[in-house]
Amino acid sequence: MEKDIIDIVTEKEFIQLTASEKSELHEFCKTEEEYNQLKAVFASVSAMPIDTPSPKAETKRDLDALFAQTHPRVAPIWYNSVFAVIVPKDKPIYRQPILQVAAVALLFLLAVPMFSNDIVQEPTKLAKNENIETNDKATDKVKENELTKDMANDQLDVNQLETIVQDEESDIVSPADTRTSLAENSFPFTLTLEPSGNDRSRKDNSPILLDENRISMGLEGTPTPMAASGSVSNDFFDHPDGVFAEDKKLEAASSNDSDDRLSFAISASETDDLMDLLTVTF
Amino acid sequence: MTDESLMISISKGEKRAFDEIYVRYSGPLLGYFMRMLWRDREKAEDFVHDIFAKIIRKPESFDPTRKFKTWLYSVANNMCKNEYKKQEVRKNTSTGLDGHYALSDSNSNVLEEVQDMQFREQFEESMDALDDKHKEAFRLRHISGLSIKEIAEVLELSDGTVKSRLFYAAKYLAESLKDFNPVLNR
Repeated sequence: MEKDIIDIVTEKEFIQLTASEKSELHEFCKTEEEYNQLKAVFASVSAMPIDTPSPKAETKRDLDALFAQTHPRVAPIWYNSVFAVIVPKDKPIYRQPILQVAAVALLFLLAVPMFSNDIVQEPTKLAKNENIETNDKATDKVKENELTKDMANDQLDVNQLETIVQDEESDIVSPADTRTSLAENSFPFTLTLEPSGNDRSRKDNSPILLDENRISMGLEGTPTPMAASGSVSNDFFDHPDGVFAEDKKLEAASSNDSDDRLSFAISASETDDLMDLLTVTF
Repeated sequence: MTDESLMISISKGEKRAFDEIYVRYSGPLLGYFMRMLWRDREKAEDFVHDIFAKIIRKPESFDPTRKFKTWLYSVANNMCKNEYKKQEVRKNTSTGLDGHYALSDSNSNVLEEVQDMQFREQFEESMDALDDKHKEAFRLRHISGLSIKEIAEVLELSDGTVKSRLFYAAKYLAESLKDFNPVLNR
């Protein structure tokens, strides 16, 4: 506030007044006594404490409501659409979405070079891996070939076995063939002719008839009825794994005596074909 | 920020500007209205509300070329004049000074307190005896703190007239309070 004549009266003594001030005051106070009276009044009034009351909070609330009603907040469209979201005024700067997005983008930009280095180094590794894979593939191919060969061999073996089995089966099925096979292969067997039971009285040299239906093969250590009957020689027991044939009735060309029997034992271990046959069958 | 620029902001709907103006002038205006309206606090509160409501509703009524303070007090003074007209009878008009003012020096002795109280009572009586135009100018100068020029603006008077009214009121008070020379000369 600029100083006026009242301030001059309040601050200065009468003798301190300039000529212009005295002429200005001449209208209101001519003497020093009058001047001092005015000075005392002004000083006393100024010295009086003046309370400055505060209005009620209600008054302010009513005025705020009135202000909100009179000046509704109308933000620009562009602010509402974009900036209200990414730069909200009511949030501190570190919580504003635009800053958060910028931070994420920065992290992404810093992370990209790391992945780029990996990509550059990758072809070398890939080349090595390809070599390894080629070697592996070659190895696998060799193994595959070997496997194929093995399978082919196995197939051959199977075929051979099947052939053998068929052969053997064909040998077994027909007694006549068996006889032929035995004859052809010249199995070493001992044929002992002994009169059995009722035939012990036989003294002539008539041919012995083998009962075809009673020829059987005996397994290891299993005496056949023929063997038990004692019609087979003791050589049978020397070959417990042999094939035992009993009641093989062979019709002799010149004999009609049905009681004559031929019992014989065949050692399977001495014949490979038979051994294979046994192995395959069981 | 000056009062005038704040008013421009208020006219643009800036709530913060209004809050600042309210903080600056709500208290002094309430005191002014209380002194002018017979220490009626409720009425003074209503007047404060009304004058700020006028600022909110019609901020353009303020002329930016003028000083805001003088404009505000001129509005307040006109409101009081209208109230005087409504009341017509002003028998109970107070001097505008708070009868319950606390003493400035709480450690002063009893004699001084009594003298101050007597001086205050005499001062209020003397103010009541003054006519309204002198009283009005005196209050604006010594209670509201306006300069002669500002008072002249508020009352729409010349500076010389204001000076004349102020010195007339001061001389009258000095004459009526001459028995309190010890206080006045303290």
